[in-house]
Amino acid sequence: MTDRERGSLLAAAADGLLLLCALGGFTSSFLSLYGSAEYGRNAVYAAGPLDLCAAHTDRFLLLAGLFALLSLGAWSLPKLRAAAVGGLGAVLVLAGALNRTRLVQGAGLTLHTITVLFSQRVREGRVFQYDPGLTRGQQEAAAALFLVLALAALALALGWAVVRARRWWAAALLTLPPLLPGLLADYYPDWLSFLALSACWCAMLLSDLCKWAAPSRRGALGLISLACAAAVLSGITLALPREDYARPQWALRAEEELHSIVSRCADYFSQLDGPFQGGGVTYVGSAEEADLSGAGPLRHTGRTVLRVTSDYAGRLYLRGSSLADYEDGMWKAMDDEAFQNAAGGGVPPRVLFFPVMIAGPGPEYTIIVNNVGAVGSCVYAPYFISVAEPEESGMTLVNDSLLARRQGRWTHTLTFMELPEPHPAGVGTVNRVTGWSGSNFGAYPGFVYERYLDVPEELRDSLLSLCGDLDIYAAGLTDPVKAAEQVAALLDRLCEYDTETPPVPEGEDPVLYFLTESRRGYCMHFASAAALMLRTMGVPARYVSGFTAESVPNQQVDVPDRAAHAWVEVWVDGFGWYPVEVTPPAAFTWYEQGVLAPEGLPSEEAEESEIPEESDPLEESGAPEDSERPGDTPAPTQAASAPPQGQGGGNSLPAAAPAVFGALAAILGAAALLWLGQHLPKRRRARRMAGPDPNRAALYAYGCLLRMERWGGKVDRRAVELAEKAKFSQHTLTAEELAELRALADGQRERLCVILDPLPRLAFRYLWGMPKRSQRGKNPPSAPDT
Amino acid sequence: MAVRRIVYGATLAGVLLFQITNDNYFGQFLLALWIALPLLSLALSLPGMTGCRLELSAAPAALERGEDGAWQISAAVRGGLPLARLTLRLREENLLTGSRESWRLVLTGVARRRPVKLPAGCGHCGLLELRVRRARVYDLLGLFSLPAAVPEPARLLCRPVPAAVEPPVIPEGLGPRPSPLSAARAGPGEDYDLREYRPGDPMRSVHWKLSSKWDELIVRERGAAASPLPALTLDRFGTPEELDGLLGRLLGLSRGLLSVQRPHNVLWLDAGGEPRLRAVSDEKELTDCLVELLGTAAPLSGPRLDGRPELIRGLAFRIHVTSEGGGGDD
Repeated sequence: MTDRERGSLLAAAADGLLLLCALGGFTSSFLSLYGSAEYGRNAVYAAGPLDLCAAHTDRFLLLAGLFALLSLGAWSLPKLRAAAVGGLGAVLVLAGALNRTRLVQGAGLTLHTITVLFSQRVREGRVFQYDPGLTRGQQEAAAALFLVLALAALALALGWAVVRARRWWAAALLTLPPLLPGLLADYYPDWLSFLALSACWCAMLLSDLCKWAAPSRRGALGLISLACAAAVLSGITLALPREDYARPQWALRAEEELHSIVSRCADYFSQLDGPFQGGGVTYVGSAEEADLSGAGPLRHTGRTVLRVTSDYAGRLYLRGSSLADYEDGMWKAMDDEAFQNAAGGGVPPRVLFFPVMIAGPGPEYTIIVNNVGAVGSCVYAPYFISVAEPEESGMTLVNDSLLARRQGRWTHTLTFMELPEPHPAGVGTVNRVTGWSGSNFGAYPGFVYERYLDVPEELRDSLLSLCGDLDIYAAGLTDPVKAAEQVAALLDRLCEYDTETPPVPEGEDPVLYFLTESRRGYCMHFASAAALMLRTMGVPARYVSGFTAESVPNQQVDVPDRAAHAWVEVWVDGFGWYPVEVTPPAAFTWYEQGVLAPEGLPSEEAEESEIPEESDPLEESGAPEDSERPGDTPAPTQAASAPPQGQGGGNSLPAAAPAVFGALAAILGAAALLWLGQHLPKRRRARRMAGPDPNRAALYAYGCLLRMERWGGKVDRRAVELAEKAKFSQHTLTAEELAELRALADGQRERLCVILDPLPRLAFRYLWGMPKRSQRGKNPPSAPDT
Repeated sequence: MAVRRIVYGATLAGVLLFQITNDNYFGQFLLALWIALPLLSLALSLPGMTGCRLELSAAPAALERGEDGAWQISAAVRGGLPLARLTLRLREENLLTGSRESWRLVLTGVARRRPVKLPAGCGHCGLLELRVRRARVYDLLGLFSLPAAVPEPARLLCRPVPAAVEPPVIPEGLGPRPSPLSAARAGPGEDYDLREYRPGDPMRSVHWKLSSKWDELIVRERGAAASPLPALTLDRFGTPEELDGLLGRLLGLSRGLLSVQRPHNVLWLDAGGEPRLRAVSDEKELTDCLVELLGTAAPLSGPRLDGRPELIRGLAFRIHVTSEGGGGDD
């Protein structure tokens, strides 16, 4: 055997091994990822159509090996390669055509399975609904047929990518996308198979620069790279076992910083006039909707979103915004215009946020809320703050929904009182700060009874039947708070608190599905159901989102994203809105368990930590010295868990989306700028050099040459002659002369693109828009080693 | 490789962002892999990177202007793995015209001593020199680079195209150059050189007859080199095109003289005005003469031999070569 033959054999062995790793690794990863994961919660069928295939992974692996060898043989043929590959392709097409119906069904079922698993973990995931009406056995047969034919097609395509094109990205593009939904949804394939697939990608990446080297060297490099990549991957797996995975602290801190930076940048850009923002907006509001339909299992990163320092001891409800209208499984904020028209009639909005309180002495507390990463940008304030002029504290009132923070203001110092009993305001019950009593509400109570009792018609009957069990409903509505407490107790009995609640199936109303079908959910579901049930009973109620914090006197408390929460406010005549907790206590177990001890519990370094830059809290709050004591009412009954940004559950992907999309947009923008910087001048130059007046075109080409001189270009004597002729002669340059001048300019450009140092070359090519057309003649292809 | 580094940096930032924003083992695994890959690449490439040897040569070593010449670059790599990438900054210089051209050569998958050919710029005659100004070798991913040892420069003699000229008629009496043996036998006698008087010359060496005739002091200097050979003289300056013509005619005349068994001298002034005299009696000496003529820079304008009559007077028979033909004989 000659050296050449030995080299070819070695290269073929390396290609074959890479192909086997890629196809086998992919097959096993795919089947383990989608064939045996949790299925059925949100699907048409009780079990996954791929289950049977997953049970016979060994047979599929054998098939994959066979296909890999056939593909390797076909693509490695020195002669008749096209015929061999075409023949295999034809067989494949024929098999598909003969079983077209089953093939389509199998594809649909496979896609359905993938989307089911994806949607269980990812909030935005939608299920591809597909029901061909097959029996279980037929489903499995269709799925198996589809997988076999898909594997054969993939083997052919991978053969091209590995054996012929030798491009690692082509192999990755062929094998990674089918696995991505599962990986992104936090499912894990059979790790050994996935390592084999990853080793193939890494080995191809490592030998990418040498893919056209001599076969023997390329083969040796492929084999060694594959072995080393496998060793490195195994080492990483052993050093960082998946079972012991815990999110590193640096990642948490980095996420906090990132969020803070992104929030501040967004805040900064929102102040700009021009393309980003028009009209000089001063205040920014919170989220204007909460989508229950897309709410899947809760995912938290544990990052800190608020830092709170207060002299209050106990749980604080930091109110974000309230949402008024429930429609199509979604809570929405009230229209500004509707509020102004219907409720505005002379009602000072602040009354709505500083309800009338019983006169009397009572302790007053101070709180400093520092927003370090909570998007939505409303002020997360405790109830019953005593602020005479919110604007002076960097806040403004937005309808009856929220306190919006001033742009650029991240820290707010507020004075508040403990939650009082909701005694209706009568004679002698006056707001200590504003001096208003319940009579100052004006037309607002009428507006409340008009707008905050809306329930979708299709839900009313079902909710009424549920509410019929409540004593208070039967006894008549005298105390809205008690009614709310009874609703909360009913929900606690009826439903289970579960942070892993999957999204509701399409077409179902989330509240009704929660109350009648799944009977499991988290604070979003409980608060939504309670608000609608209360409305059905005639109690004005609304959905509120915010955060809870376990305050320790004079210590800084880091509030993590999992402390996001939703609850209900009910309207008490003569008093105002009153918060009620309707989520079961199970929602707060994470506080006691200390799941996120460093972030969730009060910081030990609180006393040393920086207090946000603010003036004297008491001065800022403007609290009067002769305060009246409020009623001694306990805090809301119960507590719950965490919808991110006060909107209920969801995966962490959406939370990270702005940063990820921002980075991607920046990269794409830079790439687009580079592209434009190169191609626009190129097009302009081509247009001007081909202008209708040859002399002007020639002078432009000569100008290009002169401009290139400062980069080290040479102006040929012939170019000067032609330019002089174009400038001074009465004759017009011939087409040949113009082409000659253009060729000289192009030649200089190509030469400079080659000889310049890297940085000047980049500037020359991308800032001056002088693309390199070719390096023919001066930069020959690599030496073929034989 | 800037692109590869930028792409790697961008993907590393993306992976880092993924790890930061996701509570997912996959992110950590990906980050560790993305950090480990360049180290693995470096470990695999290092033997080849440190053991790379380069060699430059010209093929052929001499040719005529307009013919296709080539530079050959070969690299030997230690170890069994190919070298992922080798970048060379090359500079080709025509030592006669002083024109330079630089370019960058990128070789990938370099494994054995198989030369890469580059076209040599033989548009004008001259001694061409190819020099590696900088050489760098890269790892498998193209992220790390090391400088490679720079090889000795290579030279290629690009001869002028000999002009078709008739060999000049040389007067009889201008015989072949005496051999060293005959010069030794000649002894003291009639062989001497004439030159201007220099302070310190003995008075008896003054050639009074000539001095009175030429109206300046001429001294006789004994020497064996005084040869009555015909001389080809040239003013060695001008544009590359003019030099091509000039040297082509010189080569044609010289070969013509050699073809009729006429050894001769070639005389010119270098860029500093110093006279250079080369005796040509065969093809080898002609080549040596050409190497000297083509291997030093010729300015666009320079001193003419006509401005140095003392050099011309000593010549028995002179053919002055110009780029446009003609020329005169004295």
